[in-house]
Amino acid sequence: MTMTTRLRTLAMGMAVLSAALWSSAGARAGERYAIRAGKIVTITQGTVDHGVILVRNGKIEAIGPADQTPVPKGYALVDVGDRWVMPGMVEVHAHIGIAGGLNDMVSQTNPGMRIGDVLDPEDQMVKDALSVGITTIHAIPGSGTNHAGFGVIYKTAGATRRERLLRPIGAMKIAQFANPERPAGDIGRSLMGMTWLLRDYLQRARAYAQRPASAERDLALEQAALVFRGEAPVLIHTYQTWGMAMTMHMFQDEFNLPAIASHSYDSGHRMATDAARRGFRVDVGPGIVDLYGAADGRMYGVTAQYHRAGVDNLTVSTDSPVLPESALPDQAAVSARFGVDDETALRLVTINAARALLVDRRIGSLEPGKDADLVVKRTSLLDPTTPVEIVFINGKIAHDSRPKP
Amino acid sequence: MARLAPARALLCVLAAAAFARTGLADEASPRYAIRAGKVVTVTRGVIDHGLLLVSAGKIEALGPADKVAVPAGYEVIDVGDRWIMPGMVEIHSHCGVGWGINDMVSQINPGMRVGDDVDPDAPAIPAVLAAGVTTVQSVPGSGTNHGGYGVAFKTWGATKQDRIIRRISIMKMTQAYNPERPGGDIGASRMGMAWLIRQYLDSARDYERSWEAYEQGERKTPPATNLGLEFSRPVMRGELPVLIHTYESWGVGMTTHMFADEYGLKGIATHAEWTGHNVGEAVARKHFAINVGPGVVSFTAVGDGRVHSVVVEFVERGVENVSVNTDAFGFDQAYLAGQAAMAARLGLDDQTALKLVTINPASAILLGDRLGSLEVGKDADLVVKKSSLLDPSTPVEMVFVNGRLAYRRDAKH
Repeated sequence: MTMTTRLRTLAMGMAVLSAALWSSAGARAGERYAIRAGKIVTITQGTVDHGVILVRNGKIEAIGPADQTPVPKGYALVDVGDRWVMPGMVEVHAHIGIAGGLNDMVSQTNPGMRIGDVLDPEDQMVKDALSVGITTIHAIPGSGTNHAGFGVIYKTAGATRRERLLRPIGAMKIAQFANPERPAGDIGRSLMGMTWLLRDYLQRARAYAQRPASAERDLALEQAALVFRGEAPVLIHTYQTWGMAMTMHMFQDEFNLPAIASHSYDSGHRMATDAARRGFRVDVGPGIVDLYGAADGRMYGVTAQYHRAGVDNLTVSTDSPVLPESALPDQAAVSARFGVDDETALRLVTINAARALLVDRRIGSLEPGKDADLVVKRTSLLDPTTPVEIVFINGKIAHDSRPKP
Repeated sequence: MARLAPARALLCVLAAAAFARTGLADEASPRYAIRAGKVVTVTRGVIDHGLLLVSAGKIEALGPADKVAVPAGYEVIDVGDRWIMPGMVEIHSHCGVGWGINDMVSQINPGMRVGDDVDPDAPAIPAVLAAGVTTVQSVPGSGTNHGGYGVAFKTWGATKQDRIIRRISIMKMTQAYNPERPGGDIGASRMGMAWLIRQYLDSARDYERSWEAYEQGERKTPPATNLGLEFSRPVMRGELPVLIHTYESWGVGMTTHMFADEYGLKGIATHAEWTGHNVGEAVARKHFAINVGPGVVSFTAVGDGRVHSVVVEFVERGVENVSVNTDAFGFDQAYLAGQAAMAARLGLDDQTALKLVTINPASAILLGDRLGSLEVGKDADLVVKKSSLLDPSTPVEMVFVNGRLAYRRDAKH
């Protein structure tokens, strides 16, 4: 309730501000909307009943109770009745929207590669993702090698590449376990060998990131330097207790990088207390129910185990096309079914995902100044029984399944 | 071996002469006054009952027949009511060169030039000339990410040197499909290929910058010469273009982003078929050229069950420079006019369709000041025909190349 009061003040502040800017506002004509809804679930600043969101130039301009948020002239009113408005969902770990070429299988470490080079605007799976309310996807290279390259963060709609791209270089993708192990004759066929290759790469990348400005440019290490400067995270494909332990030690204790442990199941949650103590970011998926790790014969929700142990930086992912991208809200719903409270379950696919990817200044919650990526639905994103009706991306209607008048 | 030896000796001599054009041939060039029913300039409208003066291999003057006087010493050629049009320009072909358009070991082959292998006896060329194509740019194949450099040449000339316009005319790159291969190299995946290409462009840019720094006195010692990167220097300076084999919207998007936005190069996305036109607006904003072919009809990409022209889709999205190719021997080189006719049949106006095979390809390879239209001072590369180049029902009757009568149709053919 205090949240609501705070929002109200904020909204009034914004309303005053927008009135002050009114005279000069025509300079950059974007679409302007005033969306009136039964519930506005901001995620980070509580829920506003009978609220209004003002959208301008692709951004959220103001949020507040309908009776206290006047709709300025020139705004198209979208009255969605008693429906809810929520932030668009964010996928942390996917492989869709790209035109093949997930793995270049020659070298174990491929620091020069970027999956963003092969963005495919035609991909039907991305269109499907949009229709269930996913507005941002982090697509990453595969796990065929220890370091397959760098991901890309894009919106699921937009007329041009520029409009779609949120960040051309997403996370540094590392695979520490299982998939990159192979019987070829290279160094790195064993886990110990792979660890050496990764450590060798990370050492070189760190030295490069700290080099004097006059030093020669190394194109391959330019991207890694972003991670060492804290501008992009590293996402590590890892599993099981020992894998989680190795990942957290290497990427936090040794290199102190903004790291996300991804997959993280198959007994990985046994490191949950350590992860919580470290404040490590944990991404769970596509497996979300633990059938192997529990000795008592019961099923456990992996996310719930991490949540109970106190892991705050927790997300779920689909690893699409392993699971269909449209299963992202279901991953959050299943987390709720195994004991994650509803409020936290929503965060798994919104603000937590945005924070893990270091893009929470732009997306992941409804706050003035953030991108207007909005989902309109009869009930919560966690409820699979009601369809998504409208999706806004960058303040434009990107999906609309309301019956045509 | 005995046959090869003199050819090799000839190549050495030609290489020494490089780009220099001698004035001797021009001195002996014939002078013509060609009177025609229609002079289709392409860039400056159509002149009915026109006259065109040719001397020293160039167009000296053109205008209505009653306003252009024929000077003494000019041979008058009256072609009656026939049309005179510029010779066509093909910018994506593999014909006219000997063999070996792909060296399949490395993905990046900056030292290779298909122009080393222009074959004055290439058996296909006389038929190309007879079809009204006067300039061909032959490029290395698409078996690797960077097959090397292309060559631009005329389809007629007494010597090989007469024929060649630019021995190194364009950087050829390939970003989709053909160079993807299951071999053991880096670059088997699209992501890996993008890395190899970016690494190459980056080193080429660095190389050019270090030479510029030396030439402007900012550094004292010259950079170490890298023969492979020497050829890339004019491309990095924007004096030569780059031709990139690419397909579909993801490919055309990636190509134009990488070459235009990241490296600021002048270039042409070629093939560009299937769904490539879906990113046409972005291509238009980047002022990148599009070269469509050999498939110019898109059956699948629009989805409404009708046949659409990829060319028309790009033109409608605002791309300024669209041209067509045959990718000979993908299609027969002589079919170039047919590619433009197909675009006209699917909705393009005739004037724009003619540009697809004349001024647009000429400008795209940065030879628009010499080729592609009938203007004073330009090369006298001319085609005489009963009707438009777009009309396949009338034959080409005469072709002039560099101001000389290179082809005359035999009454029997």
